Amino acid sequence: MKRIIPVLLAVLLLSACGGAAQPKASPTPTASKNPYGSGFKVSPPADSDIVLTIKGASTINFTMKQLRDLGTSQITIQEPFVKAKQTFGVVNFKSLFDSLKIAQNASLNTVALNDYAFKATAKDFFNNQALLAVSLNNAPIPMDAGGPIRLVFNTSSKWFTNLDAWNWSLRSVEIA
Amino acid sequence: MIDRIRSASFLKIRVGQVALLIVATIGIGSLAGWSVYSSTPHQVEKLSILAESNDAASLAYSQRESFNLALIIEDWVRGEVVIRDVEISRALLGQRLQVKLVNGNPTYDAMTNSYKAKLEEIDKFIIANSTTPLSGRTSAFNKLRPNYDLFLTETRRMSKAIQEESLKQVNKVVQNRTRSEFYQSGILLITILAGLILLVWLVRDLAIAFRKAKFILQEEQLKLNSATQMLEISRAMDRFQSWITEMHLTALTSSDFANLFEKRLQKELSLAALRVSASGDSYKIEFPVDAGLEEIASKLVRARFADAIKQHQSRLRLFVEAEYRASHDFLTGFLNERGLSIALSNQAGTSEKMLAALFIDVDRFHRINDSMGFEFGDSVMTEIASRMNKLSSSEDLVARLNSDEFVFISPVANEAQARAKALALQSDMQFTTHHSDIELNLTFTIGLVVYAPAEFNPSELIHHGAIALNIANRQIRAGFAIYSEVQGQEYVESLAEEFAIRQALKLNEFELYFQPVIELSTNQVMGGEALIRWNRPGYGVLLPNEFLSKVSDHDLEIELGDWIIESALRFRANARLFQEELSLDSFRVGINVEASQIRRSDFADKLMESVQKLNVDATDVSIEITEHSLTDGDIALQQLRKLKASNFVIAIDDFGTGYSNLSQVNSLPISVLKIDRSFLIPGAGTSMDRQLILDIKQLADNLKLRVVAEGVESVEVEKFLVDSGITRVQGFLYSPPLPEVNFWGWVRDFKNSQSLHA
Repeated sequence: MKRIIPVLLAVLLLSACGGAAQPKASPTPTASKNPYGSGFKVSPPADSDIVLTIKGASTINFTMKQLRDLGTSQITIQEPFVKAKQTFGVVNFKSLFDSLKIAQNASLNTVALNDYAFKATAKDFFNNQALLAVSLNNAPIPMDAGGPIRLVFNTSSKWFTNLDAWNWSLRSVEIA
Repeated sequence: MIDRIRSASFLKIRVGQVALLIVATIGIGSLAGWSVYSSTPHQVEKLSILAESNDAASLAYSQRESFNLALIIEDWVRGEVVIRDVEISRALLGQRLQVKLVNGNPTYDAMTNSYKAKLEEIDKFIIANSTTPLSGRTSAFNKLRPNYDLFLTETRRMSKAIQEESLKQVNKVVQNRTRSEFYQSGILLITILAGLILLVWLVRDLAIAFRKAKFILQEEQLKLNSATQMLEISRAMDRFQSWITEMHLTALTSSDFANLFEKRLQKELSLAALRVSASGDSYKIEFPVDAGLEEIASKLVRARFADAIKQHQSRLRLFVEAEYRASHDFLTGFLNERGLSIALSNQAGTSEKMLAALFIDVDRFHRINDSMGFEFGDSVMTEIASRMNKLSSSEDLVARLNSDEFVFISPVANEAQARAKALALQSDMQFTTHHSDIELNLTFTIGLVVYAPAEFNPSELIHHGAIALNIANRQIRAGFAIYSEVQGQEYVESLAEEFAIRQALKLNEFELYFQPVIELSTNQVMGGEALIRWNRPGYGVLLPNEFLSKVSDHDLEIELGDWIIESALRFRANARLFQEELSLDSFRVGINVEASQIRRSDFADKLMESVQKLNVDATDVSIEITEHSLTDGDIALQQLRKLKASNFVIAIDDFGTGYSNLSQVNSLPISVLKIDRSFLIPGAGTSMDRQLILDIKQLADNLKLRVVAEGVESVEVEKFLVDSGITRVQGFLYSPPLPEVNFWGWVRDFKNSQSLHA
């Protein structure tokens, strides 16, 4: 329940702010064949929508386009949750902090849309080659697949098996 | 011993032990490996319990997202969120429902059908109300309400499923862990059992090995003790053998040797009760019952003792043989001088009877040996020994002292019997033998010594015998003499004289004096006769008649004669220094030569060699011989002729005293006749002497010989001689014989006095 309240608060905040990450007019969802019931397709955020906020001494917002502009590369891994081979377009997580000059021992708390949080030092994230996925199979990452952005790890990383670090639907990173 | 222990099988590693070791090792390895291997599964289990991929976690996350969805729908109804928030929430739930469970199926499949149906109703609701305004939302939600509540109910029920899944997961882990622990315990048990069995087995083997090693060590210790004893015995026997080898051998009996061996062995082996007995030439060794010697040790002692005895007997045989050789004459088998001394020493005091020692010399044996060869000489000696053996009895002692001298010792009652026995033996021993066509009559000279054994001294006896034999040898053949104290003393003195003469020659105690020979017609000194003198320490200057007979007795004439010739010729050589000063036209030295000298076939040659060496003219040398010398065979005559031919002057000394036939003088190689002084005694000369001198002068004139009168001691005699036509004289009237140092002074004085008279 502790994680539910922040989610709700975040949802309310987004709603109050007009939902920068939310489309102003939500199209009518259509039912689709999903492995989790009938479900429906949720449209991805627009390129101009802010999808990631880094909160430290100052706050930096990233839109999807800005993230992609950081430069992406492709990795194909056996996704450990759905246990299927998937190709992600990824941005080096470390590159998000280039302009911030953060200390190696600074604490990074990653927070998802549902307020799920995973916290570790910057050094651990960087050394374990954390990657920020911005596409899946050359398309925006569906919301029901951890989109619009999520943290992934290549098979060469020690945190490939540390599933707690695979934060889905990443919303913000808090620097402490 | 170490090899033996090494080669013993008790420390051999057995197949079973190796198998156990392998089992234990595998067990330990397995446990270690299992522990390492298990750490990952444990971690996986832990992660699987705690991580999101865990089925229970997936269910829990799905439950949470379901509740989120329900809440946010209510928020939407109240207008607190927009429909997109609801859609995103539904998408987030979809994320969780897609997560694959352990069985490979998505979490969605683990949900109840009722849940799935209600979720489908909610999906429909969201799709249907995407544009529903706030006012219509409550009525729309009321229609959904039954399904919504049932959805929440199913969502709540998921806790039980989560719990069951967690329990199932934990049970599975526990089950795995239990199975793992069981297997590990089994392996550990097998390992411990194998280890224990191996340990017990090894301990047992070690115990057996220790007992065996101890036994072997004890056995080896016994052997070592035995070997040590053998070594000590061997060393003791080495010392015994060395002692025997170095033992000074004497003529001991076997029993005496056995006693010596016994004492030595007792000492070396520290066995006081050890006994050595002799039986003939063999020795037997017996050990005391409680000697503590092993059989092998006693065998060793016996073997080494036998070796030592063998060596000893070999040495003894050599010793006896050497002793025999050293004490016996190899040709005759009689005792030699050393053997005789030993035999006499051994007999000393054992006989109360008087003994006769016959020292027997084979007459002329040296000449036989020299002329007929040693082989014949040996056969003669063998014959003599054979005869001596036949004539001896068991009480007699016969020895050969040197090549031609025997001694025959026999017990006698008295001196008369000894004499009779000696003469009988001398007679019985004579025999005749032949060499080629020459008949040889072997005769013997015997020196007899009769003595009482109590006063006996072997070396003294041999000494007395030698004296007696020497005395007997003065007889030409078959001489016989019996030793007496007086004769012995004389003999000793004679030997002393001989020694003194020999010493005199070595120490130059002899000296030549020279008596001037004067020609009265010219009052010139014509020469000097060399006359020998002996400056004997303690006796003064001895005249020739005081020692020449002794020189003759001891065969020293040749040696002394050579010295006289050499010295006289040197005198003549030195005379050249004075001849010019004293106006001596000629100067002749007269040298008296003994018959024995002139009998030497090389006499003339040696004399000529001497005058050449000293650069003396032969005409200045007068060899003066006695009439006796001329009767001594052809050799003497030949030598004289040779000298005469070499211009030596030959003078007959003491002419008129011998038995020369005046008529024979013509045939002799002589130049000078020297009238003996006995004819020229002042006032005592008879008319016959005067006539004889005149006859000699007449003879000399006829034969063109010069006459020299010696021993002129008075003016009266000088006047007679001058009247008789004899003008060459010598004698005390003019000068006694003078040492060389005084001679030339006298000549100078004589010359000066004659000048004054003139």
